Amino acid sequence: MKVGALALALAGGAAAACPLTPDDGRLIEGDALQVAWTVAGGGAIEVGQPFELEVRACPDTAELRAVDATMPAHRHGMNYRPSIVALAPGRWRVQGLIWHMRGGWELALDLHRAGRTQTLRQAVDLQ
Amino acid sequence: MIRGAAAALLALAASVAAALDFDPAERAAILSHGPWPPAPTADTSNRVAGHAAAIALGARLFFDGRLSADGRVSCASCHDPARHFQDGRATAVGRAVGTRNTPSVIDSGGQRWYGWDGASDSLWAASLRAMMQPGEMGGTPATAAALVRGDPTVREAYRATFGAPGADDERVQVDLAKALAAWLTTRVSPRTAFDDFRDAMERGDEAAAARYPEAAQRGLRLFVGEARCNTCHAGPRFSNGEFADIGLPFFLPGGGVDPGRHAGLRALKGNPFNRLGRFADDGGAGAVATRHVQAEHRNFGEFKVPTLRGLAHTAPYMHHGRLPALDDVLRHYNLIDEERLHADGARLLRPLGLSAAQLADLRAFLLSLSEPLPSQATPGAPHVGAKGGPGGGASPSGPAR
Repeated sequence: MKVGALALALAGGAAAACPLTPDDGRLIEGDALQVAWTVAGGGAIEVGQPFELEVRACPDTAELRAVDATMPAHRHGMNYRPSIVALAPGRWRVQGLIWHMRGGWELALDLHRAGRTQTLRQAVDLQ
Repeated sequence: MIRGAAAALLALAASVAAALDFDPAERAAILSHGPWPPAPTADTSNRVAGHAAAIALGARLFFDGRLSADGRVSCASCHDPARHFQDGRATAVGRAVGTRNTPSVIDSGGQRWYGWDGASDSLWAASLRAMMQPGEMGGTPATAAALVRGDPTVREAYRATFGAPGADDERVQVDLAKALAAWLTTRVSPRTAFDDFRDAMERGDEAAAARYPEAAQRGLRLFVGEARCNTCHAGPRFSNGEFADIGLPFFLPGGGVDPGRHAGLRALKGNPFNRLGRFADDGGAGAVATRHVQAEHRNFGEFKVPTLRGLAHTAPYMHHGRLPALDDVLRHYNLIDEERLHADGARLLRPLGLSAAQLADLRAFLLSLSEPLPSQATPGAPHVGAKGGPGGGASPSGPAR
């Protein structure tokens, strides 16, 4: 237990600040819930290349349960199922994403809070 | 003097005028196909990747038929260096006639999946698969170990790379596959006319860009625009590294079907030599794709999106090798039968409906992605070069088959 707590502290630093601002990443507003996401490492998403996301939630009592992405115009999603690593309360790293085509993607984040799950979506144009 | 300068200016003006006026979106799309060659990426699952001794051993093994069951089939039997490291046949002929076209192994380093179905997640695992498949080389751990223990030259090269061979024959065979992968990673295709154009565009050198034939430029505009070829043929490799159903029949001659990626994923997950297995030298740390890839129904009939580099030398085409010429490929996409596309409604492909002139332009562009083969090139010019310089690294010459 102590080892786990230490790992969280080393990997993630502080919990997410509230409210989130554009400085925290790309914002998605939910019902009494905000998330902000960035590409881990500060790079850009490239077609066909693996990438990771860092996600913050406000309030930090929310739990990120699933991440997915689809191309609505093509009616297909990723060939990969991402995994989620908790960094700190309200902060996660999402691994195993590959967007294999240029065009319109829709990122979907499932967050659970106060007995309710919300899916927060955002369109991303990958060129 | 003045007349000469004027002529030069006129020539310059004419050449500048020959460069098409690509819009910003087109320019961004074109620039995304370079630079070439890309920066090398290390295969962390192969502890001898990049090691000179491993590269030298791999170069020798590639031409050595003794890795096969009957001593007669080497890697080079199908991946012929004189043919852009493929064989020119519709389907491979190893110890038996296969059902899929032999892909070139140039530029094979740094990919995510290997084989038309992506059944391997590393170059060494793909090499091992070819060594062991009964219809390809049909080798066994004992075959590999006998080569190492029985040939003093190979044994010394093995020892210089991996240390003294242990009693575990399977480990010895995997090591040889890793040496093969180390050498193959050094096989990188040379720059092409397209690469020169792309780089000239990036640095704003319009005169240099204008040397790229206008037909190829028009074809390039189609490629990144109306024809949307770059949806899948993306990046410097002209492949997104994933899999697609392009409406080709997947029935096999003589009966049966080729399920493509659907079966490839099953083979990958059950393969003890994948990057999550005990032979991966990084303990699985680099197996991000293998850990996260998921099977879908739509994988049935999907095959890997091939690179387009060198395609002038790699006919016949497609996973089954049934399209003899590049014009057949263009015709396939121009008239694609949407009824054959059985994916879950993915509306990616539609008949291109290009005119004959447009098809000729697209063809001109595609051919500009290939370098001349040695027989077509200026004497002494490089063909397949190693990273760090043409002809560098280990010599491809090795023991006779």
